[in-house]
Order: sequence, then C-alpha cells, then structure tokens
Amino acid sequence: MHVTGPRSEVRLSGVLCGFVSWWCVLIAIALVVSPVVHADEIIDRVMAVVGTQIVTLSDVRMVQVFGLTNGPQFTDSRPQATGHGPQAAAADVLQQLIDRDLMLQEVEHYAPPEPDPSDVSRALSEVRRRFPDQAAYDRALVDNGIDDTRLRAFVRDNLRLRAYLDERFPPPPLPAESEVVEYYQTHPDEFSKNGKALPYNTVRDDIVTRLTESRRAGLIKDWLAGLRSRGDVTVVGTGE
Amino acid sequence: MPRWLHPAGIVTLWLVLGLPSGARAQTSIYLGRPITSVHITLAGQEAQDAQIEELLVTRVGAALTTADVRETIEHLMSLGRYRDVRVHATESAGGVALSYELLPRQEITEIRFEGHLELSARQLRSAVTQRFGAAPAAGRIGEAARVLRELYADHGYFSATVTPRVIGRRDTATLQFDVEAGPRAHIAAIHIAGTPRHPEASVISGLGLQVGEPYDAPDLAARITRYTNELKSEGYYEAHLDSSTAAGESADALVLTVTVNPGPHVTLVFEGTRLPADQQDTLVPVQREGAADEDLLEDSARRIEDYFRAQGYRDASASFSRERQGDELRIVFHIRRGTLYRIASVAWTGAGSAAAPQLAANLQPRAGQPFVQARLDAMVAALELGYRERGYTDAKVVPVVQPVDAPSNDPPGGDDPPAGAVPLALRTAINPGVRTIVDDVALAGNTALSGAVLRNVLGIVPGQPFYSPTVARDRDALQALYANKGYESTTVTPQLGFSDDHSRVAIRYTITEGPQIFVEHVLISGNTRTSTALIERELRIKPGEPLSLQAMTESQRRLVALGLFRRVQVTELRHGSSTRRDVLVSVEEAPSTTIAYGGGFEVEMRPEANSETGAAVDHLEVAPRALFEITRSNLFGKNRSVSLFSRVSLRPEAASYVPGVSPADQASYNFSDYRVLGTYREPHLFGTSADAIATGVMEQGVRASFNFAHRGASAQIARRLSPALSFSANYALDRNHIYDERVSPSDQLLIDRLFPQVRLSSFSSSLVHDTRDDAINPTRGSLMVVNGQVAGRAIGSEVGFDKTFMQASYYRRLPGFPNIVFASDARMGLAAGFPRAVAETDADGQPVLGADGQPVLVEVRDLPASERFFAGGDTTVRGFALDQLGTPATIDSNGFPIGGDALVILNAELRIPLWHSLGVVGFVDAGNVFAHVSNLDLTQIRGAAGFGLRYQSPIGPIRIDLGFKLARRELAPGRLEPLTALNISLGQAF
Repeated sequence: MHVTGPRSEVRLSGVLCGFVSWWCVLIAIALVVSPVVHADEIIDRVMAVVGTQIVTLSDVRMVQVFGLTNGPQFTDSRPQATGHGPQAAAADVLQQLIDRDLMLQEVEHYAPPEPDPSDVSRALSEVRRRFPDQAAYDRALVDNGIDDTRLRAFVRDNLRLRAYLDERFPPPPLPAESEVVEYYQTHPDEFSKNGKALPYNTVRDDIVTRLTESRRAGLIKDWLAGLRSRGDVTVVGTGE
Repeated sequence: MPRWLHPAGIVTLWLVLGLPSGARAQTSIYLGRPITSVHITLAGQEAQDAQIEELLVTRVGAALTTADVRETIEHLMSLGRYRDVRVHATESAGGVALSYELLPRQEITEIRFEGHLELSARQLRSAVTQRFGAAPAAGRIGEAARVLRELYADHGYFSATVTPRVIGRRDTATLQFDVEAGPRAHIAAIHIAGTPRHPEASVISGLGLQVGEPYDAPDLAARITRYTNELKSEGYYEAHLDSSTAAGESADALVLTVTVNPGPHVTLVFEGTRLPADQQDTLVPVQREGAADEDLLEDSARRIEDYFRAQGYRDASASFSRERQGDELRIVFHIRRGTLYRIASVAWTGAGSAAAPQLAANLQPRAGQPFVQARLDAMVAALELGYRERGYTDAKVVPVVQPVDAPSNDPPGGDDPPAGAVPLALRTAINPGVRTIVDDVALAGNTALSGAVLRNVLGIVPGQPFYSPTVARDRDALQALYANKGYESTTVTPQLGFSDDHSRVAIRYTITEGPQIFVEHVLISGNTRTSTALIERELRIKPGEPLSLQAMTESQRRLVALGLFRRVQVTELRHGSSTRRDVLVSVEEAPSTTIAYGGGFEVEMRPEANSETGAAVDHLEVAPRALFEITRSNLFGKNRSVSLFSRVSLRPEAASYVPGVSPADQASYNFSDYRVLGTYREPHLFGTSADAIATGVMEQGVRASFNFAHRGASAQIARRLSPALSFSANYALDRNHIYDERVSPSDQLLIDRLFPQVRLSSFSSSLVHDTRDDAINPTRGSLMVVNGQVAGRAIGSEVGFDKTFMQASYYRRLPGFPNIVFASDARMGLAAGFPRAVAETDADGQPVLGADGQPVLVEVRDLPASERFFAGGDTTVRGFALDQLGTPATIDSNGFPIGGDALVILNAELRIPLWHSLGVVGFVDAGNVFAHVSNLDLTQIRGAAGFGLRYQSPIGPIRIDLGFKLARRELAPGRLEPLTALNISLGQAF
C-alpha cells in the first residue's frame, strides 16, 4: 500500500472500514443462523396416534430404510412412493402405517393363523438383501432402534395381514371380455412398445390381472376407509 | 482481493456446506454420543416431575440410541396426558443434550353449537355424545360432524353445513360446531302406491301426513310403523309399507311416495283335535308377533306337537296349510292328538341296573304317569352322564318301550282317539361297560413351576374314576396357574394312554411354557387429587414382577373398593420387547365433595300420657324430618374423609308429658329432636391396615318415657381381618341428660333420680362377621355381631357398668321359590352395673337421713336410663309400640317403660315380591326386656305376628308393618293392651 498524504489516508480508512463492516455483518448473520453452533434437531416425535398405538418419526424412518411397506398390502419389500420428494414419501409411509395399525387392531379380533416360520424367514432375507453387507444391515438396525426380533415380528405381522386380506378379499370374479377390451382401447400408452401398439392377445392376460387386482384393491380401500371412519386416529405430524 | 474472499462468496460457501440440521435426512448425527443432560418442558415451561423422570429410558452418561428415545416416547404417551412428545437433541460439550418437549393433550370439556341450528342443541349434543362420548377424541371430530350432517338430512335439512372447530385453552378445549342448517325441505306432494285397501286420501289421513308439512324422516318412519301395526291388528299380518322421496319443483320441495302392501287378511283355523283357547296364542303367536311367515308357522306346529306329547300323546302331530282366496289367507292347523300312552311298569336290566334308580332319582318315570318321550330322553342322558362321571366312559342306556296291550287303532283323518290310555312297559337296559380308573397323572415340559406346585391345582388323582371333562378342567387350571405367573402363552396338551381293555388310563400333560412376561413400568394416569402413593399401595402389580392377570384384576378391584374413582382401568401395554410390558392404571376421580339432603316423615306408635289418668296410651305419631349431609373425601389425596351429618325431626305438640301439669295447662310447643354427627376417617393409620375414625355427636331426642340430650366424642380403630370379618375398638366419652321423665316417681329407679345427668367414659370392642349380599336389603348371607362395653369410674365415668350385645341374622332364598326371602334374627343384650354406694333420696329428691342423722347409703347397681335396654317398635317386636315391651318390672304402673339390663329379641320374616317394586311380608317377632340378667326367663318371652307392605324405592325399602300381639296383658282392670301397632319407616326391620 502506498500512502501519499491525508486524502489517501481517508480513502484507505474508508475501504478498510467498509471491508470490516461487511464482515461483521456477515459473521453476525452466520452466528444467528449457524446450524453448527445451535444444532437443535428433533430426533424423534409422535406422528400419529391410532387408538392406543402411536406412530413415531423413527417408525416412519425405519419402514423407509428397511422397505417394509408398499400400499395397503405391504407385504412386499419393494418401496413405492406415491408422491414426489422425501417429504411426500414419508407422508405416504405415515398413512400406510396408520392403515396398518387399524388393520392389525381389526385383525386381532379374528386371530388369523400364524404364518409359517419359513415364510417369515424368507421375507426377512429379502429385507436383508437391500443392504450391501451384514455390517450395514446391523448398523441400520441400531440406527433405527430395532433388533432382529422386532423386525421379524413386523414382517410376521405383515404376513398375517396378507393372509387375512387374502381370506377376506378373495380374487373377485374375472372381468367380462368387453371390459378387458375397453381397458385395452382406453389405455393405449400402457400397451405399446417403441411407439407400436402391442397385439391384444399378447396383453390380454395382463389386463385381466390388472383389472382383477384393481377391483380387489378398491374393495380393500373401501374397507380401510370404513376402519378410518370408525377408528380413533389423530395425525399429529406430517411425515417430515 | 481474491474472489473467494468476497463476503458473498464466503456466505454462499457456508450455506452450501453448513446445511441446517433440521433438514438433515435419516440418521441423526447425535446417535451413539453420550447424553450430557436431559430436560423436560411442559407447554413451554421447564417441568420437574418425579413420575415423568422415572419413565425416561434415556439416561445421562449413556449413549443416545433411537430405541431408548422411542421407548421413552411410548412411555410418556401411555400416560394419556400428552398429544405429542418431541425429543430435541442439541450439541453440548462432550456429547448431546436432550430435551423432551411435552405438549399437553387438550381434553374436550365442552361441546358447543353455534349458528343457525334449527334443531335443538340438546338433540345435537345427544347425537354426538351417544356415539362419541362426552369428550370425543380429537381423531373422531370429523366423524362427529358427519353424523350431525346426517341428522340434519334426516330432518329435511339437506343442505346443512356443519364445521367442527377445536378452541383450545391450556389443557382443555371446547369442541364447537358451526352450523348453518339451511332451508328445510317440505312435502310438496304425496302419492300412495302399491295395493292399499282404502282410498288414497284415507291412507294419507291414516298416516297423518299433510302436504306442506316439513319433511322429517324419523317422524315419517314412526307414522309408517304405527299404520303398519294397525293393519296387523286387523289381521293383515304381512302388511308392509315403504317410503321414498323425489325432488320436487323447487330446491326444498319433496315428492313423497308411500307404497302400501297390506298383504292378505289372515285367518287362523284349527282343525282336528281341539286346542285349548288359552293355549292358542301361546302356541301359535301369529297375532302377538304380528307375522305369519313360514318360520313362525313351522315353530308353532312344533310347539303344538310338543304340547300334546308332554301330556302323554306321543304320536301327536300338527301341520299347517295356507289357503289363499283372493285377499283372504286362511292358515289351517291340522292337529291330531293321537292315543294317550301311560307307563304301566318300569324295569331295569343290565349290569348297571342296581344303581340306576338312584342315579335317575328325579327323572325316573313311574307307573301310571303319562309317557313323555322327552322326559325319557332326559333320563337316559342323565343316567349316561352319571355313569360316565363314575368312570364308565362307554356306558350305554337303551330304553325299550312296549305296549302291554295292543294299541287301539285310531281311525284315519285325525279324529280324537277313543277314551282310555294305552299302557306301556318301559324296560331300560343299562350296559355300563368297562370302568376306567386313572392309573397315573404325569407332567412333562415344566421347568419354571415344579410338579408339586402344578399337582396342587389338578382335580384328577391316580385311583380316581376317569371322566374326560375333568381333563379339560385340569388343563385350564394349569394354564391359569401359568398365566398368573406371567406365562401368557403357555399351552398344555393332555394325552391319554388307555390300556388294552380300557380299564386303566394314564394321563400326561405336556406343557410348553413359553416366555415369562415381566412388568417393566407401572404407569398411573388420571389422578389429580389422589396421591400416587395411595394408588400404588393398592396395586398388586409391581415393576420387575411377573405379569399376572390375577394381580391385575385384584388391583382393579382394590382401587374400585376405595370409592374414590368413577372408573378404573388396568391394561397392559406392549412396547417392542416380547418379555417386558408396561401396565397402565387409568383412573377417573369421583367428585371429592358430595352433598346429600332429604326429607320425609317418621310414623310410629308411641305411648302418650292420658290427660286424665296419666296412663300410657299408644298413639300414632307422624313427625316430619329433614336431613343434610356433606362429605369431603380424598382429603390431601390420601383417602381421608370428613363428613357432617345433621337430621332434625319436629314432634307435634304435647308430645312430651310434663309431670304434675295437666296437658290443658301446658304451653304448646314443638319439640324437635335432632342429631348432628361429625366424622373424620383416617384410613391406614400410621401405615397399618387399620382405619381410625373420630366422631363427635350432639343430639336431642324423645324416647317413650323420657327425653334426652346427648353430647359425646369417640375414637375408633377398625380393621378388616378378612373380606367378611372386621374388628373394632372404641373409646367414648359421653354426657347424657335425661329429662321430662314420664315414669311415675314411685317406679323411677334410684339411679335416674341421682344421675339425671351422667358422664360416661367407656371402652368397647366389636367383632362383625358379615356375608350378606346387600347391607340395606339382603337376600342371602348372614350377619353376626358381638359387642362388649365397659364403663368405669377409674377412667372417668360417673357410673360403671359392663354391657354385652350379640346379634345373629340369617337370610336365604327359599328353595323352589327363589324370589321369596326368608329372614331371621336373634338378639341378646346383657348388662350389669358396678355397685356404687350412694345416698338414698326420697321422691322429692331430698336425702333420706338415718337415725344418726346421716344420709342413708344404698348400693345401686342399675345402669343409667340412656344405657338400659328397651324393646318394642319398628325394629324389634312390631306388635308393640316404641319401647312398650317389657316384664312388669320394666314397665311402670302407668305403662311407661323403665328399661332393663337384659334383652332378648327373635324375629322371622318372609319377604315376598308381588309386582315390580311392590312386595309383602309376613312376620313373627318375639322378645322381652328383663330388669336384671338374673331375671332373664325365656318362658316370659312375648310374641307378635303381622304383615306388611314393602316398596323398593331407589333409596331402600319403604315399609308399612302392622303387628298383632299374640297375647295381651291387662294394663288395668278391664283394660287390655292395644292389639295392634302400626309402623311406617325406611329400611328393613332387621
């Protein structure tokens, strides 16, 4: 820096003051909003109360991490988010857990048969396969506050629910041919490959399966809606 | 300056790197780090609650884990006090600081309706509370609004809007429904469809409908039901009406269509054997049920057959046919009674025939009786059961019924058979088979409970006859035993190993115990006034102990028995772990202050002095009375209670007789008798199982021969030794003042002249054994009381005595007449005064001087009047007016009772219900009062008999008793005792 006289000194002081002032302001802002110094985190909370059972934020995370839910028939471990973004996915999981608790309370009245232990073990193995190795799986158990026994019990209840739903909602009658054709004609995008429509004969069975499953899902959905209206459900959080 | 040093760049870099942790994804950075502190905040305020702190699983110094945090949330939410629990983690030196933010649950304490309701608020509130309770859960508010919308639609408000809102304060909230009822639909037109019997206008008029009136679905349904019932009463038993609505020309107009299908007019006809008129409606309840469907007619035919077969017509048959002729339906019952069969002889054959008559005692058919197949089947079943209970598992009883003479041939067509019964010989063959004896009872698979403990609950032992239901009972007993030790999933599988000839069986119970469940935490919620320690003292479940169903049930029973709670619920909570459960005890406290008040009147026969002769004359007295009681319970949360009871009765004028003053000269006054009683109760005195009761009393009252004023205080310790047995010890200090004596001075006891006012200091104790099912109106059980009292000058009493009173009551329902209760009671009182030398006084109260001029001393052994026994009246011997029963030594020359030192009372009563709450009784009472114990003579007992009416009011039985003396004494030459005594009062006589 070259000092040439009083005017230079004034200009130098002004620049220095401005620089320091800016930094003071920014540091103050940083201190106020700094997540490092005031790292307050809600690590768990109540998300919903279903009768006497509660659903916590850790329950939602656990189900997401282990892929334990998939719509009302959450017996498969394939994850299926219905919204966009992690918040929507968590909210979706919360609603499914609420439905699950309502169903379990209903199902307890009828004492469904105990699932075969080999089926439970098989389902548990599928859950384990989501993790690269045993260490990662064990770490996930600890981080999510459960152990193998509790996870096994969760999977077992899923299988019990599936057995109950299979018994209570057997496959509905096959759709009429006209319905199948109508579906084929009104959903062309679903039955085309490389821009070309697939022949009806090759997709007919698939359409029949979709219609049947859709009807069954509709019946289950109506039943769940009835459970919700009769049940005592309070949603406290939103799944964030 | 380098660009990266530019403040904006620095800030941008920081924002990118320093992500707010609130938005961090799944795993917290704090997991695994040591907890440095744990805080609790309630509604934003720091809270310190030992009960909450006990529920925290996360501990200072331990590593933070998700499992501990979740379990803590579950514990806190189980209390039922919070709507949310949020766990905050903050960086702190050396670890992480935890803060549990508790958000109180807002309990709905008020339901309000605002807006244009049109329907009454009471109706709306009823619709909500009946379905959802007085405090609907937050999750059901939407459902409650839907119910209200449906209610409005039912009443014609199809466009009503109902919006629920919760207006919260700290921990209570108001549920408000904002209602806009909108316009109400009205009936614009009425159409009658179907096949009505009458013109449309007549049907509309019969239904009470009018065009223009508001639409109301429940009202319409009621009118339709009424019209349908009218049709049925006219014989149109298959009448059916439906209604439907369609939109009218305007938005609130409805077109109502009622479809009337009266069905045919039904006539019942009985052909063949005549059915008694008084049985027709019972056996064929077509008119009563208002229906004539196939099921009812088939049941009726069966009932007719059963009716005749029960009289011995074993071939009775009944069928029905329906004959339709236009609008008429004729239901014809074809009844054929058949031949009457009677049992001519009964014989038993087979190996087990010797025991058969004993086994079938009550069911065994006898010669001469009508033959009823159903009774024979019942006898066979009872015999086979009897043999099987004795180990004959394959017992067979085969009855053979054979006509003794050839049966008469009934002509076809159903005409009644000729007179005379067909005799039948009944021969029952009994083959008991092999008797099976239990050879061995083995237990396998038990490790937690020893064989000796398990065998204690088994009913089957080796050597006993084998009966299979006892195996199931023993299995259930074993499972119950395990359940009460915390083994909720124990299974017991019995296996039976029979010998080749089935004469012996080995029973083996294979037990799969399963895990034992333990209580981890006992959570108590709902108590605001009652101390937690008091509740914990009554609990039979403790943390760390096995979870026992029996202990949970007993805990609930003990809490209910405290009388402090309106509701008590003990439930188990599962939180992840398969072998640990929390137990939640929820209580709803009853109001701590109760006020009772009432009024009524007392009606009884009392002796009153004849104005001319002064002789006692029985007089029916009616005295109005009022009472008031206030009780404050659960003081300081420790189940202490304090109560104040007061009662006052007004006696009519001239109720008291002033000696020496003619009633005409008496100033008229109303004498009031009153009683004021203050009680303080301290349960579990000094932590023991004994209760302490301190009582203070002030009272003034009227007896037959004197008035009295009593002031006293007592202290009692009572302890329940068993559910039926209790013991109490008591100290009392009393001051009694006797005045306005009606007993003639010449008959007055010296002690009464010397001690018109007496201070008594006494100890007493009681032993009570009470197994009655109801203390106010018992129907079974017994009550036994033994009471002993000692008053002594050494402890401050002016007069010393000892007194014993014993009572035994017994109640039972009569066998064969379960509605009739037999009640009996026996009482005996024995007392003796301690000798005391006192100066004799004359009738004027002046001391009698001896020859030496000194007062003459006499020994008195009598009890003061307030402690002597009296009998006669509504609770002792009912043919006598109040206190009027006694030997001549205990009744003065005018007929006023003096009382005595010994008492015997015997009562017996039959209590018969008549109709609803009304009943009658018949009773016999006996007893007497004797001057001294040495005078007690059972041959001098006097009796009375009578009857009474009972009305079971909500507060107890109101009774009117009229007693008649069995033998009347001559009071004066030519004047006998009155024959009867009338009493009206509340409660049973004994």
